[in-house]
Amino acid sequence: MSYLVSLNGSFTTRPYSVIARPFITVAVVLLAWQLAWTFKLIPNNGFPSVVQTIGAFWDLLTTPFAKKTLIAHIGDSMLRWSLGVALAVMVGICFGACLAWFPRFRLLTQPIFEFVRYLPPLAWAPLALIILGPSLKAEIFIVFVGALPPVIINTWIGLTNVDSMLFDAGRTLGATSRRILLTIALPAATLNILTGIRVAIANGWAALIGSELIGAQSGLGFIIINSQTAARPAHILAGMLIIGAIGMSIDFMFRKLTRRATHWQGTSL
Amino acid sequence: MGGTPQLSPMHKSSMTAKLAMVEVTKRFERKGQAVVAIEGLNISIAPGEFVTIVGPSGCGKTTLLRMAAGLDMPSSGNILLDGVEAGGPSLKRGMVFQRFALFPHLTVWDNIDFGLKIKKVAAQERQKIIDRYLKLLKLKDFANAYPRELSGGMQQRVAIARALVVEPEILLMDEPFASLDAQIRISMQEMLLEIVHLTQITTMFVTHSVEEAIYLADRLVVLTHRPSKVAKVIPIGRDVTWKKLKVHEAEVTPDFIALKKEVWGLLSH
Repeated sequence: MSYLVSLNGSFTTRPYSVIARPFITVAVVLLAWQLAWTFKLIPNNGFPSVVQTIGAFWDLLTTPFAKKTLIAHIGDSMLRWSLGVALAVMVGICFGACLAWFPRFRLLTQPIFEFVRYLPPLAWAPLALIILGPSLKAEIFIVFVGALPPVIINTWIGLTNVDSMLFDAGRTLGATSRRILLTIALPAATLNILTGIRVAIANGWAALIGSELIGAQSGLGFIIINSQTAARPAHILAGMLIIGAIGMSIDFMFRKLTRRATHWQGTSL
Repeated sequence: MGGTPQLSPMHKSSMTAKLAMVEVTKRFERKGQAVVAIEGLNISIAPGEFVTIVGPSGCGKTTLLRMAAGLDMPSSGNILLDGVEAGGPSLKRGMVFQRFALFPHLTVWDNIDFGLKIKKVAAQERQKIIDRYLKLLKLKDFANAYPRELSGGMQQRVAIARALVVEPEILLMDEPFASLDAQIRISMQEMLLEIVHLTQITTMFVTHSVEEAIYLADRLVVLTHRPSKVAKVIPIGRDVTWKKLKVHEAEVTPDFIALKKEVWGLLSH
């Protein structure tokens, strides 16, 4: 509701009350949580309070956790995630474009693709860890397999949905099939492709945290699994909140980018 | 198909024509049944001539024009450009579609530039050409607008400019004004005649509007019901008195009304 965009792509001015709304929501939730904890409405089985969680967050921020600062852990996670997603975007757009553009390629590869995409990314983890070892490569691979299918599918659907009349127009202007794909079909399918990337970003993030729970020596997933073994629930919760907040911020920035990239169709995403 | 077409003497004129359709037949399958859309159709268009094609709805006018553009191939018969088998679509045959077919992600400027780039015209030259056509089609202030920001009439003017800038040898128009409202339609017709007479371009114009077909035509081709062939060719020329009048004035002259009666008579057979 609050993302109204005017024709030239800039934000329309919004009253402060609208901007403040999400912050009010967060404040209310935190207050309710703390009150419920204080008045023992939450069973006292180790679930931390807001104050404890903020304390744990402060602790993570100030004292190194497993020899690394919080920023370094976040950096490790972001690196694995961004490389995996970037790889998935590049491969996914090419593969999806080929599925849409070359019927023979589709006939050959579609069954394999349909099978592989139903393997959850974490099902790849044991194999990846054996073959690639608990390394950056293994993490990137797991992010990649999680992020790849939505890019492929949305690119494919996007290209299939472009009005074929545009291709006819291109042909009568002397465009080759390759030129039509690159300068008409793919740009016209931008919104679909970006939607696929948006899902890929979220899938990749989920796959990453999952894989860090299993095999990593650093990262946000590592923080929460390590805090479990150390029986520090407030640290787990602080880690979870950081994971959620980062995911949300990335999505927010990506939506902004999507609006900019598809301003010609007046996207209201 | 292919090789030198066998022409009977009656089709000799097709050798001097800009575009000739010789004994063209188009069959296709619909729900397992063979349908003959066009059968043994002959049309030839002289260089610089404006030929309108009018026929009962569903008689395959669009198919006819798509074949003329090379977007569809005839089941049998030949389509000749300057006496030579025309083959697939190219810059030589420009097309304007009923639903505009503008590239939605490109500005007016870039839409018009699309074919010029393919033609490898130098950047400076392109600038000059596009400026001239923007002026000619009264689009000067909209060079940076995107198609969705324009009215239907303006979009079709962009499509006409896009087809004309590459200086095709023939302009093919598929009911280009059918989706415009009456007033815009009339001003577009007048504008088109002005441009066509100025540029001396050969034009094949398909419409279901009898008035439009008469007003624009140097020569009017009336088609029969499916399977379509030519019912009658009516030469009109540019010297008739009502050609100099505006559409609404021309339509009420006795000559125009007489023509209209004749065409309606042919269509209702």
